[in-house]
Amino acid sequence: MGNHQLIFGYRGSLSNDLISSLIQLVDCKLKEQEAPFRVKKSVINILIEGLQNSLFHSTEVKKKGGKEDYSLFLLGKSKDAYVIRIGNFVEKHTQDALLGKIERLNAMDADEIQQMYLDVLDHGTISDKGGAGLGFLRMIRDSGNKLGYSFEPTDDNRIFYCIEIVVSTQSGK
Amino acid sequence: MENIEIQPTATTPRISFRPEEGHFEISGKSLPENSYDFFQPLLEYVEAYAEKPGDSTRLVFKLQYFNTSSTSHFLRMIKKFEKIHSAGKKVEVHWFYDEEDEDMKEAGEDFKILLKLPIIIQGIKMD
Repeated sequence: MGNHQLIFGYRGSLSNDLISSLIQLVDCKLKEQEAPFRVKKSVINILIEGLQNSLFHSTEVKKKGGKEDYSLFLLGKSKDAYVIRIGNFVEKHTQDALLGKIERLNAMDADEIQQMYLDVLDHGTISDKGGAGLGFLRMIRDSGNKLGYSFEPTDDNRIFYCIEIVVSTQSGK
Repeated sequence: MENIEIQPTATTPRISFRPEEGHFEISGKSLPENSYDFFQPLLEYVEAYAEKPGDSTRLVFKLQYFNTSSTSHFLRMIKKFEKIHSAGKKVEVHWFYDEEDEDMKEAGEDFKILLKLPIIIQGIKMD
């Protein structure tokens, strides 16, 4: 992970129970590192949203008859921040929509993110999957940082889509 | 109405709904993969309670973690209690959070912004 020390990594398929176990492991790791409570909570909230989002994508691929593929999750630490990367495969045609969504959110300031979070919470439609479109907003709100992202084309016309979120260990967000 | 007692799992909260006592409690971790499936029956139950509510109702949250799709359902649920409140009955929402957990406190404050019934936000020691 570049200049980061890798604290935890997982590559494999996901289930919701596995996500819950990964969260418990990360919780222990961060306690061991004596991470401040705020930092630990932000990292875990981001993991919940990011991993469940990744699980959602892989379930969608499977539903459409695609082969199940791995998700990737890395937690690293630099001198003054934790870095979370979560990646999974998506179909190529979803790239523009994902990119547009992330860039729209990244153009907003903290107040706009908070306002949009409340708007979506209050008026957002709840899809039959149970998702409410709040995941990215929460990640940005909790980290106080923009979403990093990458899209790597694969040989079989898919994209390996990865997001990166930085949680500062300094006080304040 | 019969009580509802649902034991917690690694991804779903403990539910204790005791309508005779006017006590409704959700505690623990709430990150179901499909939160609609988990919460919809509970929402329907609360809707039935709201038709013939007790004189005094307490809705208690004591959460450690939740996913955002659970939050949407919490809001939908609190709105059902808000209706009881606006019909003139006593309703209080108690949002407890671990005293270290500013994030959970803020989640309670979000509801306070969006709703018009009394929401008491209180830090306590949690395991």
